[in-house]
This record gives sequence, C-alpha cells and structure tokens, in this order.
Amino acid sequence: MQTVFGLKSAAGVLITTALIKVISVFRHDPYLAALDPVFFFLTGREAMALAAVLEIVLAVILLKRIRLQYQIVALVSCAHLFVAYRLANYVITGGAKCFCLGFVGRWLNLPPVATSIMGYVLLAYLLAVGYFTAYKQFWASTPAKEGAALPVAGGNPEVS
Amino acid sequence: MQPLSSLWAAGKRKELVWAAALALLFGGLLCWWAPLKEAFEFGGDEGDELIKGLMCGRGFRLYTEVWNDQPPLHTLLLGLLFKACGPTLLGARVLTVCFAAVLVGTQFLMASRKTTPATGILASAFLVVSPYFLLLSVSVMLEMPAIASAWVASCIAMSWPKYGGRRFLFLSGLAMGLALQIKLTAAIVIPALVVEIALSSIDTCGRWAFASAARAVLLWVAGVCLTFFAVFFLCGEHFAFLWSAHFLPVTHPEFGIPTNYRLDWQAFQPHLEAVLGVGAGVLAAVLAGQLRAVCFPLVLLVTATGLHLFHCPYWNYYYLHLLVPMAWLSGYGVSGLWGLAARELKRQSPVGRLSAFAAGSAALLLMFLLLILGGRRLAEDLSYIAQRPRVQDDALVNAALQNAPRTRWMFSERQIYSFHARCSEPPELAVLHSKRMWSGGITGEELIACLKHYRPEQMVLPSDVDGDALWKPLLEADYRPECRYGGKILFVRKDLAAGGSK
Repeated sequence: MQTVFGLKSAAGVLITTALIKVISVFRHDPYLAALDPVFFFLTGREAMALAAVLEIVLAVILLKRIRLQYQIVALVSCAHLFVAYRLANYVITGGAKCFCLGFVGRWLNLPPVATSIMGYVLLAYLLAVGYFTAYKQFWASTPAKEGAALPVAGGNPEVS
Repeated sequence: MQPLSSLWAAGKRKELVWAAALALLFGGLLCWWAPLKEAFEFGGDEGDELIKGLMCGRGFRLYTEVWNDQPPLHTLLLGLLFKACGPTLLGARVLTVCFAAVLVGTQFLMASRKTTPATGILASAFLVVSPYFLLLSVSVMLEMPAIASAWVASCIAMSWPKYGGRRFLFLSGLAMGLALQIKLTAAIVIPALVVEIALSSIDTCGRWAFASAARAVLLWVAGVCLTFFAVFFLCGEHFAFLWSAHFLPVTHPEFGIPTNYRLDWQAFQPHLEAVLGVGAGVLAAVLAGQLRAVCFPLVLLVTATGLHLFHCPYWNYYYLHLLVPMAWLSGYGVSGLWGLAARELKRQSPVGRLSAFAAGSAALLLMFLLLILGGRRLAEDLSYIAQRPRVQDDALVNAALQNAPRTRWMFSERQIYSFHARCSEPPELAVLHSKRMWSGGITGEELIACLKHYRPEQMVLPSDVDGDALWKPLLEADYRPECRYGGKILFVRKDLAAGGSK
C-alpha cells in the first residue's frame, strides 16, 4: 500500500514538474534561447522540453502496472541523473540558478531561494521514494522463492 | 623464471591486445580529429620544444650552445626527426600523440591487471575526459612523453612477479631512466613504484621478504641509473646546468616569482567526477579489503599532491601528475562500488542489501557525472583543439616565410614564430621563459647585447615594445616594422629590407 502510494505520488510530482516545464517552454525568456549550461549542445528550451518528456515517460512507467523492479530502477536512475545534472550545473556555472522548475517562481512571486529549495525538496522526495520502495519491497521482506512471480506495483493480477 | 615471450601466452595476450587496440583507437581518432599539421599552437610551451628540436636537427649542441633547462632525450628525438624529415610540425605532434596513446593503453593494462578489465576501461575513460589531457596529448611538450614513459616503466614493473621474473624489474628501471631523461618530473612516480615493487616482492616471498624486497628495489634502481647516466654522459654532463636553472634563488622578481604559481584547491573544482571518484575508490578498496590493489595510484596521488602543494612554481600542465592516478582511482571507485553492491546483495540481510543499494547508487551517480561533466569537457576540448588558429592564416608567419631565404637568425619572444618560419634562433636565446629570467639566467641588457652580436634579420616582438627604452635604440638603428598582427610586430633588419642577404 505504502509502495503504491509512494510511486503514484512520485508520478504526480513528475507530471506536475513536467507540466510546469511544458508551459515554460512556450514563454519568452532569454534563458530559453541561450545554450543550456550543462548540455551545451542544446538550448535552454530544448533541454527543458527534453526533461519534460523524460519526466512524463517516467511518470507513465510509475503509473502503469509493470514489474516493480523496473519501476524502481527507472525512478532511482532518473533521480540520480537529476542529482548529477544539479552537481554539474553547480560546477560549471559556479552555483547559478537551475531552471528545473521552469518559471514557477515568477508566476507565484516566490523569491529565487524558495524556488531553489522547492526543487531540492522535490528531488529529495523522488530519491526517498526510490530508496524506500526498494528497501520495503525487496530487502526488508524475506527473499522471494526461486520461480515465484515478481511483484507488480498495485498488486499482481496473476497472484491476487 | 618465465621467458619474456610468456607475456604473449594465451591468457595475457588478450589484455595486451585490448590495451594496444585502445591505444590505437585513441591515437587514431585524435590524429584524425586534431589539425596537427595546421594548428599554429596548442600548448603554451610548444615553441620552446620545437625550436630546440629544430636547432638540434641543424647541428647545434644542447647546453653548450643552445640554452636548455630540461633533460635532452625528447629534444634529441625531435632533432633526429627533423633531420630525417625536415622541420615537420605534424611529425612532432604525432610523436606526442603516440606517447599519449601509450599512456592510455598502459593505464588500461595496469588497472585491469590489478583488478578487472571493467576498471581498466573506466580508468582509461576517466583519463581521456580529464582536464588538460587532450590538449597535452597533441602539444609538443615534455610532460606527456615523460609521464607516459614513467607509466611504461610502471607497467613493466607491475608485470614482474606474475609474468616476467626479475629481469622485468631491470627493464622497468631502464624505462624509468629514459623517462627521467625526458623530464625530471617523471621522478614523481618513483615513490609509488618503489612501494609497489617492495610490496610485490613481499607478496611473493614469505620468508626473507624484506631482504627480497630490498634486492628487487636495488635491481630496479640499477636499471634507472644505467640509462639515466648513459644518456647523461653521452649528451654532456648537464646536471649542474639543470640544477642551476631550477633551484637558483629568485634574483629578478620583476619577471614574476615562483611563489605566485601555486597549486590551488580550486584546480580540482571542475574535475568533480574524479574528486568524488577518488573518495569512492578509496572507500570501495577499504570496504572490500583491497587497498593493495589501489596502493600504487594512491601513493602517487599523495606524493604528487603533497609535492605540488609545497613546491613552486606549479604550472597548469602539472595537473597531469594528479589526473592520471585520480582517473585510475575513479575507475576503481565505480567498478569497486558495483562489485560491492553485487556482493552485498547476496548477503540477504536488510543491512547488507541497504549498503548494496547505497553502493550501487553512488556508482550510478559517478557514472552520470562521468557522462555529463566528462562528456561536456571532452566535447569542449575537442572543439577547442579543432578551432585553433591555423599557421597559414597568420600574417606574421607568412611575412617571415617570405624573408626566410635571406634570413640566418630570427629572434622571437615566442619561439614558435621562428619554428613556423623555419629559421634558427640565436642559440643562447632559443629558450627564454620566466624561470630563466627570474633565476638571473639572462637579463634584459644581456639579451640586447646578444641581439647586437647576432644581428638577427627578423624579430617578432610584442606590439608594446615600441615604447620600451631598452629596445628603442636597437630597433630605431637597425630595424623597421614590416607587419603587425595579433598583438605582435615583425621587425625586419633595414639592410635586408633594402635587398641585402645573410
């Protein structure tokens, strides 16, 4: 139950951030026209669009009834990719603002620090869900017998 | 004792073939991509090495005629190359690419022999994407050949207990002696190598282990001494010359002082993936009880960091001493953490599985950082190399080339102009850099006196030289500016401009 909630809420977070990015992509801002500081072969707009697509694909994986193992691997890998992006952004720009949440700060009249903290909190949440789900589902329980069906998020239709 | 050909036995052949293939791939791709024949200059010290090689190829003697503060071997190699093929920029740069390819290959070979082939591949990948590595791989400078030769010596030394017997130690010593005769900074590898040889000896001999270790180290040192002193005596006894150039006190601080050039911790900031990788490598080695497997790069990294923190001056290209062991440790870090995760997964306990997950996550993060930061740096370096200004586009070089048939001596503060114009520099002035200036090797007045003696037909000087009181009398009396380009002026002797010849 906790696992299902965790994965669905992570999917909700991803869809929300993807939507924010999709809306931001159609705005006019110097950042969107300039090259992305990390993926310098893409413009800010292209990088944001690509990130939105990645988040939507990941959300679909988390919402669909597929093997939990794949969902966890996908979630944890993507979360680590986001962490690596933030670290790289810090190294390359010396700590310049990351547009991971699009222009939501401007729309809500939030100071840049608040937007930045919000981004970190959401990333930490994705990582926590990934770690917790993995621990809960695979390792805190007794090992599955050989040949037993692998668990599926939301219950295994063949077993239940 | 196994025969030398045992290295080519079935089991070992695979590793050697992979290492050779990796080296060939790296070298081939770099030669294909980089404008080795056309680029005006890659590294800042290319001019020094090229002009020394040119002078050597034209029969001038190092140390007695051409001022030189470095050991002679690389210059002699360049001299032979230029004598055989003419002053070829392509040949000189391909020589450096070969050394870099050897470094990549030996890095793979050593790391994979010490642990797993995956570590070898990762260590080579971390190496290739490191800062300065690609630029140094195409620059005619001494650092890459010296460290690559020291790495060959290390690779041979590491093979001795398993494959080749003690004669490999002697061979390794010979290779290290040659590395030291390319540049003395190769000595930075010696402490790590001595520790490695001693530990390998202790590993193989249970009884009388320390006596055996001492014998092994002495044999290696004998090899080092043999080649080092053979080259030393063949090329003239230049040790006093080297010593005075590097260790004399600063007498002319107006040229900059060595303490201004220090290794700063900020040098590591852009290399985040390797800094984290080193931590991961040490942690993985401690947790797996495999510190012995990373002992060599670890001792080297500690030696190099300690030395560069305290010894001045530190030049940017010395980062090669740090990045090579860092790449090895990072490669071990990623593969070691994956291995740790795989082992811990089998333990079935919650704690074991949690640590497996943590190790796997850290390895994943390092891989992403390698791909993002390393990939970006690789692309930037390749683009920088490909876009270097071309020799044929340089107006000064073109003008100097037109005058070259009537030129015996050409003086340039940046000697690469003289090399591109195929002209000899006054031998005493062929190498003019900060170290020579601040150690009192030459003063401004001595420089002018030397120029008055040689009366070079052409000179390339910075454009602000016009107002310099030291230069003004010489320039007004004998020279006229012929061409201005890129912040430099080409001065031509007045009688040459009027049709005089050498």
